[in-house]
Amino acid sequence: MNQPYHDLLYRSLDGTLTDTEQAQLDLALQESAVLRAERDELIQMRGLVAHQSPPAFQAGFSHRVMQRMAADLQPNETDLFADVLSFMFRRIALAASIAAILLVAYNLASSDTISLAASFGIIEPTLEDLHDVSMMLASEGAL
Amino acid sequence: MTDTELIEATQNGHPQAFQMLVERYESRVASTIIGMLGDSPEADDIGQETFIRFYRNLGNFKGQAGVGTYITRIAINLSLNEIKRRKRRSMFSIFSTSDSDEDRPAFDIPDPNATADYDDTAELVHWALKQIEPKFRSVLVLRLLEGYSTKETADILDLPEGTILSRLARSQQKLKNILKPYLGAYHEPAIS
Repeated sequence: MNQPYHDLLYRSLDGTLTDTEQAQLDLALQESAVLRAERDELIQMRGLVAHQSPPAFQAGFSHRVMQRMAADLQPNETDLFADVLSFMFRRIALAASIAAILLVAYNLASSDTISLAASFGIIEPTLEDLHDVSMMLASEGAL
Repeated sequence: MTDTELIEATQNGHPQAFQMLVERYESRVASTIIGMLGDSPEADDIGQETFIRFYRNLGNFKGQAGVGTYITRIAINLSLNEIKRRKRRSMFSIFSTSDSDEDRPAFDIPDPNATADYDDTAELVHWALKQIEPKFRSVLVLRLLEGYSTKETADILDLPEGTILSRLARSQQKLKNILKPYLGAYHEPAIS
């Protein structure tokens, strides 16, 4: 099927076509049996969808809404506790984050190197730290 | 009483006024939510939640959109959230099969050869709608099921009208292909 006419067909059902487009579509519909079949199926499908009985909630829906609203909007002790806990947690979390940032900054400032270990205040041992020169000389003398 | 009067009465502490609003828009919300989710146990809950959200936001409701449009927007958003939640749940379920709630038909798929007088179209249409991707389904539900114009559908979904038209064309094509075996069995009701 010719795509532009196909698009025109769909648009004709939901949007608006200019007079020229409508004339083009009418002509294409006269000439193309495939396009006519597509239009008929489309109209039938839309009829099937539109003419079904409207779905509904079970009886007493508005009462259920009002009951749930009354229950939801009534602040209970558990909700209050949760609200306070959430409020306190946010404050503590903020203070802890600031303290952690300051600690990392201090560790980096007081370290000679910039590394992950330095940011945690871990002192990375150098080769000299690992090998005690006097002990090495003493052990050589013993040999 | 008009919607505005009922909203004012609700804000002035008359819950009966809000119940009247619920009764007024209940069928529209049911149509939207059941269209999106199928006739599932969650649909009633989502319906209730829609009105509770509306109640909580009454202070923000300025009346630019009609009450129906505003409530439908809440219902669509909650339905889309529910669909996402179902997908997540089926993804994380250890024992999940390839069928998610979304894919599973809510009823036995009718045999097109045996449905010459098939007239319970609602189940068939809802099953067919569930085969369509949610973002396309929402356009179909609003435009074809509820009869909103493309402009209103665009407002509800907060999308440009051009996007609605292209989604509508694609989704109608998909829906037509799904329903094709059953179209012959359907006869448009006679106009009395």
